[in-house]
Amino acid sequence: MHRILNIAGNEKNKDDLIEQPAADFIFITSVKADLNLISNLLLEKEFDSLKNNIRALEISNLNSSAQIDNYLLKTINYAKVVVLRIFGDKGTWNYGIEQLLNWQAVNKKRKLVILSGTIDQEISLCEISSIDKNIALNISRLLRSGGLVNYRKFLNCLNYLVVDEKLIPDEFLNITFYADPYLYDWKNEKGEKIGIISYKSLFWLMKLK
Amino acid sequence: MANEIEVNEKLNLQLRKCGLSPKTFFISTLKDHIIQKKLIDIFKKEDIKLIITTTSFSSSQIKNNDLIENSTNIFTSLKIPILQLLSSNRSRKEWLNSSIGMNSSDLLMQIIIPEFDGRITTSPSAFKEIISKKNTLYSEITSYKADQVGIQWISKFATNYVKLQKLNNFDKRICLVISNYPVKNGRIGNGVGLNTPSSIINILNWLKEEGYDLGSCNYPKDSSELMSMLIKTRTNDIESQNNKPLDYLPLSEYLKYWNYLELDPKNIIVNRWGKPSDAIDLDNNGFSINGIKFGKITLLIQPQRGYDAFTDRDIHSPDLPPPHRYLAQYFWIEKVFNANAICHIGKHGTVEWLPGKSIGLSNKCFPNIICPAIPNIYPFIVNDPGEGSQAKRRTAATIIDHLTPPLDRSELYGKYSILENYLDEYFEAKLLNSSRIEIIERSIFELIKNDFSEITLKNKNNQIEEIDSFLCKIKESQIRTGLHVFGNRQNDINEINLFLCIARVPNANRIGVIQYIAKHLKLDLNPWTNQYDQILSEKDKKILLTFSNNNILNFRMAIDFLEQQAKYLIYLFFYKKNTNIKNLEKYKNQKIIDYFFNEKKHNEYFLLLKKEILYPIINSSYNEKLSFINSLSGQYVKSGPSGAPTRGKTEALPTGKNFFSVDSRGLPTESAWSVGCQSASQILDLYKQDNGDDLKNIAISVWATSTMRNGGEDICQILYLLGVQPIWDGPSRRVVDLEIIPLSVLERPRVDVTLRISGMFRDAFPQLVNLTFKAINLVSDLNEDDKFNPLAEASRAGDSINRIFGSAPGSYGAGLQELISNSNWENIDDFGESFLNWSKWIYSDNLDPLEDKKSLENALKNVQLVVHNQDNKEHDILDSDDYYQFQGGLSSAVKKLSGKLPEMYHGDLSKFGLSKISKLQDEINKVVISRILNPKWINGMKDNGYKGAFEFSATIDYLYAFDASTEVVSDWCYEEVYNSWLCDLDLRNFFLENNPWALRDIAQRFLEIVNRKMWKNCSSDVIENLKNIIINTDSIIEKNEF
Repeated sequence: MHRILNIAGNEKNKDDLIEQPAADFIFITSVKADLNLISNLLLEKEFDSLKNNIRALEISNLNSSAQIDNYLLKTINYAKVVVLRIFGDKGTWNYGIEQLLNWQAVNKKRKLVILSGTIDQEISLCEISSIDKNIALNISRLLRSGGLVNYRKFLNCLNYLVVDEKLIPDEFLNITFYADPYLYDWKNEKGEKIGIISYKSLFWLMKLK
Repeated sequence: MANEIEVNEKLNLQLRKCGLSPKTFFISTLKDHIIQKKLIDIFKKEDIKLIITTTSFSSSQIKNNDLIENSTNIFTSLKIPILQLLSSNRSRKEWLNSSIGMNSSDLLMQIIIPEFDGRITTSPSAFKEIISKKNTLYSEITSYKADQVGIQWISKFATNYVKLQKLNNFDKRICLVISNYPVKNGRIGNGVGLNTPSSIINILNWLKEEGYDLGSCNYPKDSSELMSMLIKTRTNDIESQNNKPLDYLPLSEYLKYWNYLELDPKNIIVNRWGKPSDAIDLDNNGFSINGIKFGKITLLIQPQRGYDAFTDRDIHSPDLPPPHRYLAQYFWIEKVFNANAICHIGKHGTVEWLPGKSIGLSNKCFPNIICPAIPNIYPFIVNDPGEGSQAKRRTAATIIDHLTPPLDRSELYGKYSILENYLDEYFEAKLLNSSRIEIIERSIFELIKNDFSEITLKNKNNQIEEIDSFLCKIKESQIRTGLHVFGNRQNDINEINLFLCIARVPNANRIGVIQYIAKHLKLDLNPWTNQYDQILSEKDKKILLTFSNNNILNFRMAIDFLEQQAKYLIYLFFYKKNTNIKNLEKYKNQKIIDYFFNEKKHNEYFLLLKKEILYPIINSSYNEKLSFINSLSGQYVKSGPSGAPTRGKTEALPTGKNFFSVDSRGLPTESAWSVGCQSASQILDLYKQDNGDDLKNIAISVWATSTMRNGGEDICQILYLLGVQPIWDGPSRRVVDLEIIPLSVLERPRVDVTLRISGMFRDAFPQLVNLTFKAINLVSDLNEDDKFNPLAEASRAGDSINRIFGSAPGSYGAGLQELISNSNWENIDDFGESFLNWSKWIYSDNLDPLEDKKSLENALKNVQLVVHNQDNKEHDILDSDDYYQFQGGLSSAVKKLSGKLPEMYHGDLSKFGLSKISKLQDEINKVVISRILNPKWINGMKDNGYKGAFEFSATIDYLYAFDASTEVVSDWCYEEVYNSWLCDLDLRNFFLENNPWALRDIAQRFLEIVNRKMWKNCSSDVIENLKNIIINTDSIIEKNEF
């Protein structure tokens, strides 16, 4: 017996089916921190129009074929743009990608943007997007470079994607680069030095704050 | 707004409290070489001493589960330890309530794959907590929250690593721990394939060379002296309780540390072992600390686990808490001895197997409570990634893997050689059509009748060929011929034998060396085979006659010739320049030399062997020492793959690495599927051949270690028996789903399969548990005729269809070892009952298992056949307590429930693509003949002093245990082993000089075997002799004459 949830994320039973209210934009990601960042950006006035028109969830909520099929039927089918951001190759979420490709193929007006969290899979994933490969690559890099400014640009791109990705102004596709690695909390102090390595994605929220 | 860097902030704060200077680097990915390069430059410039990382996955490039060597990799370049801070994807509450600990995605991303980098797994220090549910994204928003307990633990661990780096060697306090079970003086220093005492001597010598303080007194110079010194002090053996221990931890001191423990584990211990003041292992002076000390180096015997002080309740308690003295000794190591590093020597101790969460332990889990937050260095045999991973994941150990023991073909000896000579004579006579054929034939059958009760001829025709095939199978068996000493090269002949064992196996880069020779001699025969009854073609006979001075008339003789020539060529190519080995010179064959050695075209192949096998073997000993020394300087130990080199996994060499296991996402592999189908078909065929009917119900035990080595062959075997096929994804070749194989394609009924998974399998392969669970459900839901689908039949009848069982959450084992060690059983049903009690947890796709003995009984009561597979021949089924525990446990449980022992098969999956299913009894007979009675093994063990004698004692225990739980050991086995071991004066003297306790244990075990009527036709002389051995050995032990 499957439970049906309209808020993604409750992992008590990994067979739970997700059915979010319909929206034009769906963002599926491997990175939970993405959700945190976007949900906070949506509080800004600039994104009032988008605020109630985007749904997001972490890919781990769509593990099984049953979950994917149900989400596609109940939520994605009403969307105009789906952005998928994954770490790893296509095989990481093979069934889901195949179903999304089918979903897009049914109606060419629908837009499917597949982004890579890592550099090595960037081209192979972006090129199966239904939008211009170079623009997909650009958006992928925006999110990989991270940070408040780049995520804001990403959100700004969404409305253009519905119409034509080529209309996205350059300013939203210009990536703001940050130091990588970004050094944090370095003090001049005594003691043997210990290197702490963490993901930048965690850091951006603090910058936002 | 969530603060996602709370973990970093709290970690930095805690590190600063410890006097360290944290430098945080936020990065996008560690896969990017440019970022790695920048990090390397900064780390070097800043002289960073250690890394703590919260990043998932690995920085290394992996292909087919092997590391692609990359000298520019950040961690190999920096050579400093890397601690993996675990961040759980679950909330703290969920984690606390879970018996598993970290979930499967955390296990994969934060433990299994980071291990490829040589990262050291630590404690969970961050949990994902929900911070918002009501938002327009309709998704829970979560954030990592720091866990102070974990942060403190990892900070302390990091501090101790840095301290180890900074201290002068002379000031370092190192604790070496050797394990001891069963708790007998003859069995101190467990270490599979390892001469543990001699390895300790090597370690002491290295430490001396490196300037460590070994005191002013002389430390032992050899393993005999070491063991004699150790056993004259207090050990775990009840007999030594009047000896003086190394030290005591007074009760008052113990209480100081005890009081710091969490309430839950304290209650668990008190409920079983009483309050500390009431502990049965408490002396007047406190808890004894058993071991010896040389300056600042201590050698301790790991305390007994507690099963020796058995009660029936303990025997049936898979989660028995460790007794007080166990805790006391580890408290002493940390708080009194102030160890800077602890080294558990050899596979394996007990601390990493204590009850607690599987992965991502809390401060209520016993391994975490007991094993201090100091560097834990663990020399471990290279071919056991499963059990080594347990130490890595549950006690933050750094593995330093070591080479397997020397291996060789069994060949023939004694009466088997005589029989072989008769056969040769027979074939010679047949060739010449001599009138002597009948006489020789009669002699052979007479010999078989009188001296070979182990040979049962099955065919009416071709009986001579059947005997020949039997001898060939024995002769070709791979056996251990010694033990490895950590950091030592084998002697030349042992090394050549091991070289040949590895070279014999074909792999992706080359064919096996025997195949190579056969191919270039243009022979038709296939030497890489399990088919020992191949007919040698006339063409082959002719070819071989041109190379050999003797007639080579059958397959056995041909293989013999090729093996000898391969060995000689390896000797000639790589060793002869520096050494002259008489035993090999006898194989010299100028024609073969001219053909292979003097012909340049063959150099390429032998150079390949040199690069792939010789150098890595030679480098292994050097690397083992170097890594060990470096690890005690707080340095990084390079990672590398694990596996069985004689199963084609030459990438596992050289040893001396912090090995990793396998990327479980790729399992089961497609090649495992081909082996699974093949072996399952053989099981079905053999069963039908033996019983006339199709197999309906089978029980199979599955282990993690073999799954790590073979890509999931056992799981594939199970799937095929069920009639379900995995579906692999296109590019990544990962299993994405399952599909039913229609009955019309299967052309046989489906089989109802019950799995007994090991605790380690449960921990390491949750996704394979899910996959199998799914397969079982798919089959049980099928609308097929009862006679073709017994699982669906059971489902329709309302019976439970739970088929995956394992030990209690957080515990390991099958429950037979304790009965065997203490001889605490009356009949086979006792094993069945114990097994049922230890195995009654249902595992499914749900994280939390359910205890349900009825379901297990329901699944096992109809079982007709019990199978266990063995995936490599670097050991055998009488080398370890696990084989009898799982196969004997399942079989005795079936007997208890159905009143009848099931059929028992052994699956030999050691040669890839050439599975061989045989009856368990045949396998035991083969092991007894090929190894246990074989002078090659006996002499090899004699070369290994105390530990060699230990191996004899362990072997007879396992033989007895198999018999006790399966009733498949024949009288002749006992008789021959008794004659060979206990009636040979030389061997008895060896025991008396090196390990009299082992001799006494062996004699006592034999006496028990006789008393229990397991050896039925034993003469009174034997009993008398056994009693005399026990009395005489006792007297020598009492007089301390060793």
